[in-house]
Amino acid sequence: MVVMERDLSGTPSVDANLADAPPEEIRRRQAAMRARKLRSRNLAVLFALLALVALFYAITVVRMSAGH
Amino acid sequence: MTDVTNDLTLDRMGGASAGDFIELLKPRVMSLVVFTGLAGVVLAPGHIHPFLAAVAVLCIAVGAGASGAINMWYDRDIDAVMTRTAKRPIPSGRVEPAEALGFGITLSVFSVVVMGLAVNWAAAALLALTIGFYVFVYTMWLKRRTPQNIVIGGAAGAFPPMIGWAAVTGSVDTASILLFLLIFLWTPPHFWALALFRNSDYTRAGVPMMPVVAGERATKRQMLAYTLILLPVAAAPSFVGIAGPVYLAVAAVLGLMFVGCAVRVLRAVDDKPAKKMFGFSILYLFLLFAVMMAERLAFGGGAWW
Repeated sequence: MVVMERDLSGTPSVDANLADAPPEEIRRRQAAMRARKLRSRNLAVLFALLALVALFYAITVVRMSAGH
Repeated sequence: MTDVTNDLTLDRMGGASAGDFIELLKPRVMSLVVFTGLAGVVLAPGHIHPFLAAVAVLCIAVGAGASGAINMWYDRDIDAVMTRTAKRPIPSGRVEPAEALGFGITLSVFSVVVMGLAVNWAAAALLALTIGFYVFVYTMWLKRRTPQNIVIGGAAGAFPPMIGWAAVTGSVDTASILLFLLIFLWTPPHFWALALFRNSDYTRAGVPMMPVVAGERATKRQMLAYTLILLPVAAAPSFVGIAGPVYLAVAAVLGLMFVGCAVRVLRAVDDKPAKKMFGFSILYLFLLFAVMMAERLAFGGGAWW
C-alpha cells in the first residue's frame, strides 16, 4: 500500500504482476532493473566524456587555425 | 512487512536514468533559449567561426538547463504540490535532490568555462550572470516573495540573445539590449496567461503569482499594458539596423494580434482566451526572431558574412 502511494516515478512497473510473487523473485527483477539503469547511466557518462574530449580538441584546432 | 516495503521501494527507484537527468534540464524551456541565443549570434555584426558559434549556442543551452536543474532542486517542495510539476524527477523520487544540485552546479561551471575558453569572456560573464540571476534572484529571492517575481526574474530568460550577440562582438550594444527588452517585456503577459489558467496550482503551492495576489482583473489589465508597451519595442529592431521592413510589418501585425489576445483575455469570464494567449505568445516570440534572422540571412550583413 505504501509502495503504491509513493509510486509517482512513471517508470515501467516491473512488479505490476508480482503481487503474489515470492520476495526472492521480486528482488531478482528489481536488481535486474537497477542494473539496466546503472548501465544506461554509465554509458551516458562515457558518451559525455568522449564528447567533451572531442569538443575541446575541436575548439583547440579551430582557435589555433584562426590565429587566436 | 515494513522492511519488505522499504526494500521494495528502494529497489524500485534503482537510481535515476539518463532521461531523468535530461528532464532536469527543462528541454522545452531550453529550446526557446537556444533559439533566441542563436538569433543573437546571427543578428550580431562581425564574424565568428561557425563551429565557435555552435559552441556558444551549446553553452547557452547547457547553462540554461543547469539553472533549470538548480531551480528544480530548490523548488522541490512546491513542485510536489503543483499538478503541473508533481511528476518532475525530484518530487517523484526518481532523482535525489543532492544529485540534481550537483548536476546543475557542474553543468553551470562547465558552460561558463567553455564559453570563456572557446568564445570570449564577455559572453561567459553574461552567461554566468544569467545563471546567477535565475538561481539567486528569481528562484531563491523573488519567486516566493513578490507577485513581480516573473517581471524581474524574466530578465534571466531575456539574456540569451545578448549572450549570443556578445559571443560575436565581445560587447553589449544598444541593439542587443533591444533584443533583451523584447523578451523581458514579453515575459509577463506570457507567464501571467499561464498563471491565469493554473491559478489553483500556484495558490496551493503558496507562490504569489499576480493572479493569486492582485486578482485576475488586475492581472489582465497589466497583461494588456505590457502588450501595448511591447508594440514599439518589438518594432524597434528595424530602426537600429538589425532588421528590415519585412520584420517591421510582421512585428506590427503580430503585435496587434497579441494586443487582441490580451483584450479578449480582459473581457473573458473563462480560461479559454488565456490558454490561447499563452500558446500565441510562444508563436509570437518565435516568429519575431525567425523573421529577424531570415531577413538578416537573406539580405546579409550578419555574423555569417
